[in-house]
Amino acid sequence: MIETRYLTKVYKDLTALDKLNLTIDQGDIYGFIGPNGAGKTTTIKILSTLLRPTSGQAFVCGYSVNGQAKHIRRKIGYVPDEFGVYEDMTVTEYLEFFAALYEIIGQDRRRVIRDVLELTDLSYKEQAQVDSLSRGMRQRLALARVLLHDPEVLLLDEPASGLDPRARIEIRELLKELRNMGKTILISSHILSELKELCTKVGIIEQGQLLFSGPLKDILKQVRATDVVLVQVREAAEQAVAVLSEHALVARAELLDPTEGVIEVQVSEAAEDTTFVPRLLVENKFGIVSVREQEIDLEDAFMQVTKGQVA
Amino acid sequence: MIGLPVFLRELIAHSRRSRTYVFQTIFLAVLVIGLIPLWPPSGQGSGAKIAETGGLIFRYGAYLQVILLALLAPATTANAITMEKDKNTLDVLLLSSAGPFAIVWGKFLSRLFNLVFLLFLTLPLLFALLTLGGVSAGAILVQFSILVAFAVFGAGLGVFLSTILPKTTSVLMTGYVVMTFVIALPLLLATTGVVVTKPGTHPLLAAYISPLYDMIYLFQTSTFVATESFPSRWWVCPAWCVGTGLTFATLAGVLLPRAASIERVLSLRKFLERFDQFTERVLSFRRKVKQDSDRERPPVGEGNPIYWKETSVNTIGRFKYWWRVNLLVLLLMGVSYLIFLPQLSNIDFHKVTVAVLAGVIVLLSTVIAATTVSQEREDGSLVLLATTPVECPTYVKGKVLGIVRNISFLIALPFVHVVIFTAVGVIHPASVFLLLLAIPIAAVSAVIQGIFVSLLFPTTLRAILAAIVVLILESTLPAVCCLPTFNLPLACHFFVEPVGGLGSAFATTNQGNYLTAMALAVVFSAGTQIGFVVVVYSLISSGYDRYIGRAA
Repeated sequence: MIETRYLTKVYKDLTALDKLNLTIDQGDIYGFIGPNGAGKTTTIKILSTLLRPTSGQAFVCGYSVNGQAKHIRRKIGYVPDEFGVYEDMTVTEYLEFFAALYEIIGQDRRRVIRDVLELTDLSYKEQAQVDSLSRGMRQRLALARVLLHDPEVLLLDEPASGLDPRARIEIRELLKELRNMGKTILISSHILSELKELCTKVGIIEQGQLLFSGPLKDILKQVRATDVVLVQVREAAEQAVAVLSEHALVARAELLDPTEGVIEVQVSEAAEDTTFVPRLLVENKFGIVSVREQEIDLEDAFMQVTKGQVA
Repeated sequence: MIGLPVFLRELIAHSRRSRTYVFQTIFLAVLVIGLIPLWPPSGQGSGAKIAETGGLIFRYGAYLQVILLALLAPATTANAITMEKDKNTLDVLLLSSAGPFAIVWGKFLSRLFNLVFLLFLTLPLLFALLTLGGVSAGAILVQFSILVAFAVFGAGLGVFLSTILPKTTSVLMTGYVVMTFVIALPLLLATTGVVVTKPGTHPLLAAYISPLYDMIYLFQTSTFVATESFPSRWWVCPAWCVGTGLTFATLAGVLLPRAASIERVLSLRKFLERFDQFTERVLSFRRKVKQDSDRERPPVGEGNPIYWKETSVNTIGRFKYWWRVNLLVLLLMGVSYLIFLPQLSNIDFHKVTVAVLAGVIVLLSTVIAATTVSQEREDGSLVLLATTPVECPTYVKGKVLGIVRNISFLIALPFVHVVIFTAVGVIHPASVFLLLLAIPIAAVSAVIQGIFVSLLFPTTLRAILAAIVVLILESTLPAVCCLPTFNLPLACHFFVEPVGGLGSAFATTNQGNYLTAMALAVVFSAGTQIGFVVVVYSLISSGYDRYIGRAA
C-alpha cells in the first residue's frame, strides 16, 4: 500500500531522509517513531504529496508521488501535527467545505458528514465554532475530516501530541475503530506506550535512516531474546538465587530487592517458557509471594535501537 | 535609559533581518528612480536653470519621502507588540522586572531608530543637490527635522495600534487609514471650502496638520501666508507629530497590561457584527431581517468551494449584508457630494476623486489577495487544502472571483460617480467605457498579483509588505516612463480629463482625436495587464505544488 525506495530528501546542507526503504502492507497500522528531527514528518509530507523527494521513489496505493499526486490525494487522509483552523466556521461548515473539495455532493455529503460526526462522537458539537473546540475535539474533527472521502490510507503526524490523558485515550479508541475498518494507517508519535497497543508494525528512524522496520514482536525480540520473570519469595532469597542459578535453563538470576525478596530470573534460549521457575522454587520448599513476567517495553526497544545497540 | 534591554534586543534582531536591508534598499531605490529623471543633463542649461532644477528635485524628493515614510512606518512597527502576542512571549515579558513602559519604549525607540537611520541614508543624496544650487543646507535640515518628527509619529502610532489590536494585519490596515487621513485631511478641509481663505491658497492649518503640507509651506510659503517670505511656523507640524508620537507610545505603555481585554472590545469581527445589527435596525424591515438571518450562511453549493469560503466565511466575506454596505457607501457618496458641492463642476475634482478611488481599489485588491493565502499558511489550513484534489485553476479562480466579489461595491463606485457626472455634462461620456475596461481588468490583475506574492511569502505581514512594495514600484516606474500601464490611478486621472495631460500627447500623434488616443491607452493598458495576468497565472500554475510545498 505504501512503499518507498531509496527515498532521499535534502534541505540545503541537511539530509532529512537518507535512502529510506519502507514497505507498509494493506491493513497495517504502522507506528513511525524516532527522535525529533529524525525525518518522520518529512516522510509523511512526501507521502502526502506536500513535498517532493530529492531522489528515490515513493508509492502510495500504487501511485508515484512524482507525477501522480492527483491520484494519491484522493486515496489518502492526512492529519498534520498542527490543526488547521478556519476562523468563523462551524463544525458542519468545516466538514461541508472539505467534502465539497472532495466533490462529495448532495445527499451523499449530508450522510457522510452525519456518519463521520457520529464516528468521532462530535454530533453534539456540529453547530459549534471550530476555533472554540478543545484540542482533543479538534483532533477528533481532524480525523472526521480525513474520513469524509473514505481514504484507503491515513497519514497521521503526531495525532496525540499535546492532548490531555482523556483526549489521548479517546483518540486511541478512535484509531482502533479505524483499524477495525481496515484502513492502512501510518502514525508517527512520541507516546510509545500507545503505539504498542495500536500498531501491528513499527519503524524506527534516526537521522533520516530507517534503523528498524517490521512487526512489533520482532523488535521486542531483538531487544531481549529470552523472557524474564520477577519472583518474590517469602524468605531465604539468597538461597533461592543460588538454586535458580544452578538450573540449566536459567541464564541469569539476580536478587533485586533483598528486603522484599524479589529475584529477577532470565531464562536461557533453550527454555520453552518460564513456568519451570516457580515450580523449581516450590520443589525446593521456598514460599512464593508472587510471580510475574517482565514485559518488554517499546521505549526500551526504542532507546536501544536509537543508541545503535540493536540492528 | 528606559527600555534599554528591549531596545538593544530589538536592534540586534533587526540588524539580523534581511527585511531591514530590503526596506532601506527599496526606500533609496524609489527615491533615486523617482528623482533621477529630473536631474539635469551635464553641460546643458544656464546656472539659474540648473539651480531651479535642483530646487525642483529637492521639493519632489521631500514629498516622496513623506509618502514613503507614511507607507513604511506602519509596515516596520505593526508587529512590535503583536509579534510578542503571537509567540506568547508578551506575558513572559510583562512578568519580568522590565515593566510595560520599558517594553513599549524599547520597541518604540528601536523602530524609530530604524526609521531615522533610513532618513539618514538619504542625506548624502540631498546634500549632493547643493552642487546644483537652488537649495540651502538650512532647508535640508528643516526638511529632515519634519521627516524625523513624522517618523516619531509613525513609530508611536504603530506601537500604540500594535498594543491595542490583536493582529498585525489589523494594525497595518488601521495604520494606513490613519496615515492617509493625516496626510490627506488638509486636502479634504481645503476642498470643502471650510478653511480656505482665498482661491489658490492653502490654509495654514493644513501645514500644521500634515507633514506633506508643511513641506509645501516650507517651499511655497506665500501660498499659505501671502505676507510671509519665510515659513516662520514650519515647526508646528513637527512639534505636533513628536508630541502625538510620544503620547501614543506612553499610552501604549499604560494600556499594555490590559491589552487582552482591549483586544476583545476592539475585535473586528464584533465590530462588523455590531455594524450589521446597526444597519439592520436602521435600514431593514423586520421581515427582511428575518429572511436574511435565515440565509445567513449559505451552504457550500456544487460550485467552487474556495469561492464559497472566500465569500461566506472570511471576515470580509462574512460581512454578510452587502446590500446594506453598498447602500451605506452610496449614502456616504451622496453626503460627500453635498460637502463638495462647490467643486462638483470642476473637472480637476473628478480627476482626483476617480484616481483616489482607483488607487484604493488597487491597494485593497492587492492587500486582501496578499493576506488570503498567507493567512491560510499561518493558521495551518493551507497544507490541508494542498492534500485535497483541488487543483490550481479551481484554487486561483475561487480566490480571484471571491475577492473581486467582496470588493465589487468599491469597483462600482468610480462608475457610479462618472455616470452621474457624465449625465450632467461635466465628464466626457467616453470615460465610462474607458473605466469599464480599465478598472475591472486592473482589479483582477491586482488580485492575481496579490495571490502570487502571498504564495511566495511565509507570513501575512511579509506578504502585505511585499505587495505594497510591488505596488509602489509599479506606480513609480511607469510614472517615470509616462505610461499608464499598471498605474491605474494615473490612468484614471487622464481618463476623466477631456483635454490635456497624456490625452493631449496622444492626441498630437493621432490628429487630435482624443477618443482614439484614450482608446489606444486603454487597449495598451488592458493588453499589458491581461498579458501580466497570463504570465503570473502560468507561474502560479507551474509552481503551484512547489509553492504549496514551501508552505508545508
